[in-house]
Amino acid sequence: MARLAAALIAVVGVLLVVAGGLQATVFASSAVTRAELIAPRQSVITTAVGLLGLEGPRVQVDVTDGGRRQVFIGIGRAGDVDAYLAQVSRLEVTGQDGDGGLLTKQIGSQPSLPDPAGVDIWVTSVRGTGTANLAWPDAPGQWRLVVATDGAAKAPDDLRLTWSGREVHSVAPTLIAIGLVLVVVGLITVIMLGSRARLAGDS
Amino acid sequence: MIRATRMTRATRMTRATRGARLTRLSTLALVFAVPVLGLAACGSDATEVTDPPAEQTAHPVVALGQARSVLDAVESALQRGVDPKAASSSVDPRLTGPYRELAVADARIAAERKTKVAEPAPVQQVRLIVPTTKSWPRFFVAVGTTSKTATPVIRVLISPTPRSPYGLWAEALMLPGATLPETAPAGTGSALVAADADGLVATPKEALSAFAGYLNAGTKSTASKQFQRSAFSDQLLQRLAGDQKALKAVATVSSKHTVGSSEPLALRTADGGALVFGELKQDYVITIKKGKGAVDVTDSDLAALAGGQKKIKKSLTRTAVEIVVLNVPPSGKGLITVIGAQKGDVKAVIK
Repeated sequence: MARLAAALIAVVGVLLVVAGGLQATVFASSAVTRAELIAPRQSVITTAVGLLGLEGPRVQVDVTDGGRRQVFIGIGRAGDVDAYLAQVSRLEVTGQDGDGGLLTKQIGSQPSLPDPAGVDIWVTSVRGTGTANLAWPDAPGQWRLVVATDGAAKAPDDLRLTWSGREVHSVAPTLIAIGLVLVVVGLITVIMLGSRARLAGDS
Repeated sequence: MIRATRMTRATRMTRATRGARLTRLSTLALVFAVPVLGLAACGSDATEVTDPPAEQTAHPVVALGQARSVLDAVESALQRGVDPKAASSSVDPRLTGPYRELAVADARIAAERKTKVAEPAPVQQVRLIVPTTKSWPRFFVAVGTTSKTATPVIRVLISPTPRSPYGLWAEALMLPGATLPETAPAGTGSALVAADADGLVATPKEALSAFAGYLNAGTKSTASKQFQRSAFSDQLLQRLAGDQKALKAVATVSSKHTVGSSEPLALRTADGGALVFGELKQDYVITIKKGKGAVDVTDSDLAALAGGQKKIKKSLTRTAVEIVVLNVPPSGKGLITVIGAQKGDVKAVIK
C-alpha cells in the first residue's frame, strides 16, 4: 500500500512537470494580446477610458476597410472626445473577451457627427485610404480612441487592437520545481520500501 | 524472544503509520495537481474596463503636436487665399473672425484693382502661449517671425466649439520695442482670465473699452491715463488730427472707436497680470461741407474697397477692424501696455 502511494506521488510529480512544461510552451501567457472587432454597424467606434492600456503599455491600432474608403483613427483627451461626440450613436469598446474579440456596448442616439478629420481635438491622428495604423504609448491621463470614416457613413470594417509590453508572470517554474521534488521523493520512497521489503524477506 | 516479538510489533506499527502518511500525501498531491493541471490548460481571461470619474484638472487646450498641425493647416489656408466673390461664411474655416473680414476685404480690393493679394510670408514659430480650460470656445497664441515684417507677429487661433477647427482669428504685429510678458510654458498652460476678472488694473473688458475711449478722446483724456503711450495710438491720433487739419476748409473729419462684438480673450501672465487680445472697430467719416466741392481719394485701396469711387462728393464712411494686444498688470502695478496691434479697412462707402 505504501509503495503504491509513493508511486502515485511520483506520478503526480511527473504530471506537474509536464503541466509546467506545457505552461512554459504551448499555454504560455503571451506578452502580446490581440483582439478584433469585425463589421461594426455604427458610424463611430470609440474606446472606454483605460482601454488603451488594458493589456499592456503599448497598443497598436490597425483599421482596414474592404471598400477602400477613407478611414480615420484619432486619440484625444477623454473630455474633449466626449464633447465632440456628444450624443452621437457609437460603439464603445470596453474590453477583450479572451478569445480574440473586443467587448463593446452601444451608446448615444444621434445619427452622425462632423468629419473627425476636420476637428482639432486629436493629440494624434491618422487618415488613410482603406487602411490606417497608429501606435500609442500609454500616457498619463484619460484618453479615448475614435475610429470612423467620415462621421456619417458606417465605420471601417475591421478594427484590431494589439497590446504589448506587458510583464508576464508564469507559474511554470514553480510547477516544474514542485513536480521534480515529488518525483524524487516518490521514487526514493519506492526504492527504499522495495529494499526494506527485500531485506525483511531475506531475514 | 520477548524482545524480538516487541521489535516486530513496533516495526509493523511504523510501517502501517508510514503507509497511511504516504497515502494521505499522495491524496493531497492529487488534490493539488488536478486544479493546477486544469489551470495550466486554460487560455487567457477576458478583461474589461469601466469609465472612471471624469478628470477634474484642466489641461492645456492643445499639445505641442496639435498646435503644429493647426498652424500648418492655417498656413495652407493662407496660401490658398480667399475668393473675392465668396460670401464671408463660405471662406475656409481656418480663417475666422476679424482676420476673415480683413482677408475678404483684401481679396475684394485686389480683384477691383486687378492685382493679386500679396502672398503671406511663412511664420517661423518662436513661442506658443496656451491656456488651460475644459470648455469652449478655446484659443491659443503663436508668436513668430516672418521675412516680411520687422517685428514678430502674434497669431490668435480660436476654436468656437468642440466640432469646429481652430481658425486664425487675428494677427497683430508686435509694436517696436514691446516685449511679451512671461507666461507659463505651453506644456503646462496658462490660466484663463475672465473678461470681467478683477485683481487687475482694469478687467480685460474695461481695458479694451478704456483703450477705445483713449483713441476717441486723445492723450489728454482720463482713459489715456491708464495706458503707456504707444506707437499705435500715437499714429491713429496723429492721422486723425492731420486729416482734420488738411480738410478743414472743405470737410469735417470724425473717428469713433468701439469695442468689437466678440468678448476679449485673456490669459494669466507670470506676474499675476493678464495678456488681453481684443477687437475694436473704427468708423472714420469725412463729410464734405455744403458748397465746398469734392475731395479726391488718393488711397487706391480705399477707392477699390468703395467699388472704384475716387471722388468724395458728399461723404466717406470707412470701417476698419483693429486688433490690440494689451498687457494688463495686477492692481497697483503700473500702466496698461499696448504690445501689438493691427488695423485694416473692411468696408468703405463713398457718396
